[in-house]
Amino acid sequence: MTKKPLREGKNQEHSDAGESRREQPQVFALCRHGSAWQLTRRGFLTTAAAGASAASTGGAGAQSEGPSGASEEPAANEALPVAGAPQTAAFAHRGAVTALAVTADGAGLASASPDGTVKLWSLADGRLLETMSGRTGDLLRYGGGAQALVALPDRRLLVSASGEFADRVMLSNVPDGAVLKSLAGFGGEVTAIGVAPGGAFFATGTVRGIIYVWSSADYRLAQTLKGHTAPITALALAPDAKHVVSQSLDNTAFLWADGELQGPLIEQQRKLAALAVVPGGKEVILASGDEEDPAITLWSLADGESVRDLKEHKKRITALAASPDGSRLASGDADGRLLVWDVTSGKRLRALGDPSVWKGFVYAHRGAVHALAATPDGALLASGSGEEKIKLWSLPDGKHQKTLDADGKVYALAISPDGKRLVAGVEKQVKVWGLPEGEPGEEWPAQEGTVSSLAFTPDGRRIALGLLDGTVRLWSFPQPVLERTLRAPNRPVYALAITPDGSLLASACGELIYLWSLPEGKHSRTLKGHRHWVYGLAVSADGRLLVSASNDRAVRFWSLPGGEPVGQPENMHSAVAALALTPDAALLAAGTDDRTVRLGRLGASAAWKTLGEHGAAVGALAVTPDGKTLVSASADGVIALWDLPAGGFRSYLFDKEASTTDAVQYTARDAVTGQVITFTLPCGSPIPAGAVCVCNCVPGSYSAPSSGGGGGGGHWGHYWFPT
Amino acid sequence: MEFYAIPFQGEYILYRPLRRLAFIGNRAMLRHVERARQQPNRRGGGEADVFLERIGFWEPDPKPPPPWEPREEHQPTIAVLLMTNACNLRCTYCYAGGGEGAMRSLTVPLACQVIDAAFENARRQNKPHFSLAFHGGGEPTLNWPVMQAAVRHAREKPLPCEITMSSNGLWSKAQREFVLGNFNALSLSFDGVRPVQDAQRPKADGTGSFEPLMETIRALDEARFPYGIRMTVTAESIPCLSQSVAFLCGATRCEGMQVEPCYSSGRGRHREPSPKQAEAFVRAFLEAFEVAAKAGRPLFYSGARPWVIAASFCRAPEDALVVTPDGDLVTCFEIHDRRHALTDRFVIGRVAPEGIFVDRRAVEAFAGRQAERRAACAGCFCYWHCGGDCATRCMAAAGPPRVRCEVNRAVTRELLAWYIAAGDGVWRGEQPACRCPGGSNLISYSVESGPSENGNRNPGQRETRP
Repeated sequence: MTKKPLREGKNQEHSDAGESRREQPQVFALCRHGSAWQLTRRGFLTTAAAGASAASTGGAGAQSEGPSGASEEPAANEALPVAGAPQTAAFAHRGAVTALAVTADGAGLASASPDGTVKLWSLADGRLLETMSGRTGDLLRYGGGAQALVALPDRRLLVSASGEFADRVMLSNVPDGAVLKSLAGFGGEVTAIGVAPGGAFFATGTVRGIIYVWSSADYRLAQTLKGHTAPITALALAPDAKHVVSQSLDNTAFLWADGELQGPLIEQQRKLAALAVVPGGKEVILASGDEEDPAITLWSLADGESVRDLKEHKKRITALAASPDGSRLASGDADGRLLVWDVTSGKRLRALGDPSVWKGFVYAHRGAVHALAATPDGALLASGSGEEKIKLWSLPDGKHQKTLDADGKVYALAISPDGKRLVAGVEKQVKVWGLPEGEPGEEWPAQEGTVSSLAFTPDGRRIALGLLDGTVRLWSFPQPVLERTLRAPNRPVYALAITPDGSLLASACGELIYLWSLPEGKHSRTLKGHRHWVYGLAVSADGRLLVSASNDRAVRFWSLPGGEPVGQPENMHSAVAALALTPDAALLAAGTDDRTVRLGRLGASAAWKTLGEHGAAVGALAVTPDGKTLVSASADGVIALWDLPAGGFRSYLFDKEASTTDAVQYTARDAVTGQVITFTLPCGSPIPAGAVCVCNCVPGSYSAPSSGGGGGGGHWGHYWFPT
Repeated sequence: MEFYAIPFQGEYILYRPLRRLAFIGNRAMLRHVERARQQPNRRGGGEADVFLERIGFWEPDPKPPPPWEPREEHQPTIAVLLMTNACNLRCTYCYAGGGEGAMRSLTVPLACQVIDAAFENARRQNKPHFSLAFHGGGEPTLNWPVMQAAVRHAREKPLPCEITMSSNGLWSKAQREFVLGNFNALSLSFDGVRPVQDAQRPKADGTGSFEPLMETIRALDEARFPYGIRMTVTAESIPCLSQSVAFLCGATRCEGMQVEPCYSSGRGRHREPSPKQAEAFVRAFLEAFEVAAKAGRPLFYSGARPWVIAASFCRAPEDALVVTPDGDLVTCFEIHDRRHALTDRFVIGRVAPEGIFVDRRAVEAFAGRQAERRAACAGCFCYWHCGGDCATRCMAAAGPPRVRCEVNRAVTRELLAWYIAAGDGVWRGEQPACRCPGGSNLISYSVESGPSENGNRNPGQRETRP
């Protein structure tokens, strides 16, 4: 074979296919020249043909033709994932479906998930009727242990949960989480809960293998079933509790009738993840979801024979529930899908989907987003991130307008009260840009510590800088002159807040909050209560309430100017890294390290609800001045918009440059305001009927916005070709 | 067959991770391989085909390691005791905020209970030994009486126990003697040259920790005690990395060095590398890798280990009983106590006086999140090397955190190129220049990653003693 040297400067991108085909396959060797690799085309083909080792590509005998030119530069865009067309398939939950219950009248279906929601569906047409979270959401999300849903004949819905390692079962109202009954004294952890169709009975199985059957009406113990020797893993009951099926870690599945053990079920060596007894006219059927195989098997309880398999789930079946009349079976899986089946024919009747549930995220930044700020007119949002860029977005449509190169990690942002200046804390520097164009503003001297927080006085003539060296510095603005340095113990200052009248500055310094009078900067009070670093501060519009959020997972409330604690702290399940108050101080949003955005109504401690999840810890929040939009940002570079006061998800902010996958974008008119809003969701997400996909999966539809200040840049990593 | 073409300097690294086979070819070679792959009957006797045949390119992939499935019986044989959050250092990037807040320390009964369980599990499984490791959100030796009691308790068992510790090395003379006499191996946190060590790892009183640590190192070296060094690199210390590695190679007898960039947790909040700093880290790491290789010392970064084929980054959830001072069983050594932001996601059980309880639902939920995270890695050429990467650094995210992934991919790509060069043009899975003085030529252990998949000894690990 004759070797053909590559033509210098040949661009593979523009070469014709025929020419490409004439190239010879080449293998290259590497050698080190100083600090750089040099690729050398080696004569393996020649030496291989001559019988030498195919791998002997280096060394003296190798044919050296000098470094290969950059003629075949890989085309980065070749490796971009192909965006899928928007699909209509939907998930019922973001997380696994862990509990199901059909209402006593057979018309409704309730589903629960560790995503923190209980959803009510119409069984007749599959419509989503209601999504509930509240305290019940916390129970599902963090409660651990065995969980079940009980739909009582009186239409009430209960969550029955054992809690982690607890030998008790709590029955709580949905959605407020009020505990109606606590059953205890099981002599060991409760490992499984089963509910009878119709909700008249439920059963609890323990770590010791004992099953207790209870009446839901009066919580009376109806039966105690002993026979298993290992923890119970799954339970199912007939509507009247005459038949009970149990599965245990002792590798047995038992059938019980009228409290007596009838014997092991055939073929039940399989590990069953979910069980349901389906009441029928002639025979009682057991539905089981195998742990390994995502199929539902229907068994005749009379003879233990398999009746049929229902196959459509792709992931492990995690919950089953039958309607009281036995005609319908609902099944949920680990992927959050929820199906309804006709028991007689075995046909899948419908897949229940919540259009607000999708999988995946759309990215705004390539680094953690640490800061957000909205202009006073609410038309522009700035986001600052660890990728050393600040991005400007128009609101409410959330379109990317401009990228500003910060040349350092951006930890804090503030917009002047007149909306004309954007100030950023960029590591140990303060940088200023003009708005809305993003032109460079005043030069600031370098700071002695990392600037982690910023706050303008209401008149815009001063700005406070919170530094990680423990100081707060008051500077005049826009011409930067240091007026005062407020010193506190050597703890990092993560947050600042100034009252609307400009008379008081609160600074979070370690686990303490310092109050300073302004403009003189005199320390007036130290607020103690948090047990760990305070990450967030917010002051109400009337200046009388200060809210603080901490790594100790608590949100605390303080009166101003006195600093007395107000009410009880709100305890979250994870560190609270960000806070935002609506202008009317009616709603408080908290961003937590467990990825969630939570919304609470001030003064109503039980009214916290989880709006949704990010892909990583939520580190920044902002509310637009009109109080209608909440913006949340997380450590994975995702920024989400939420409608206030309802808290519904609206859209993600999308920058093509930051995204490894494409997004679906569509516009829709807001039914209330009449505004046209651009929605952005991960590709593959369901979009409303009639909506048009205008994302980059339609080639040529996307045009990148202009970059200011030298921003832009690209991925420094190369793409690769999974082949 | 799993096959990737990784762009490299205008050509491609043609890579079969499961076969551990890599070489560099041009675009035509890539096309040739692709065609031949799709139409095996058209593989001819041309030179390219002969080459591919000769290097075993068409041999089938070995079976990949299965994903982690929680077992019904959780029977780890490694007891990991998170001793205390007290600390005599105030490292600027400490993930645990060590030395701050109310002190929590493990008790003797808790320690003994976990040791008993690990021993019993090993005995039941007929293992030749069981293991005991000391970690924590602070310096484990500060809970000294409990450490001594735990070591004695483990040594009383009728099965050899392998005892290791992660420490900052600031010990008294008596502690040094005890460690030398009772431990099998150590991992010492040491960030390098004096200015870096003293700036990043100051003592609680603000003075430097370099000198007392060197005192410990000298004692360990004198006793020929096996140990590895764990270095953390911050944005400020990136430029000094190769200097620090050169220093450690010259001034210590450490058996290996693990280099990790700082990440955003505890006092390290906001200190994770930006994309630019990550690029700088990659360059600095590769430079330091060369320095270490010349000195014959292994140097690695946990996110880029092409010689490892693993379904998960870390075996701790499967193989270790990790107990916190609060008595929680956790799946990661870094979940030091309930103040950690990710506690809710990593607690899988509890050690109580009545026994050790494992919440199967919590284990399954953890495994589910691992699988969810891993699903996002599909199509990445590092899929089998980083195993989905470190859970504590990534678990908070549904998908992989991309800056760290880019670091992993960039380092892996460059290491592959390095190995290809060292392997005369074809890499077949060896790790050529990293031969440990102790004889192990594969590094597949880190403090985080637990025991290796291939059973090789770890850097800083000596024979198990009875």
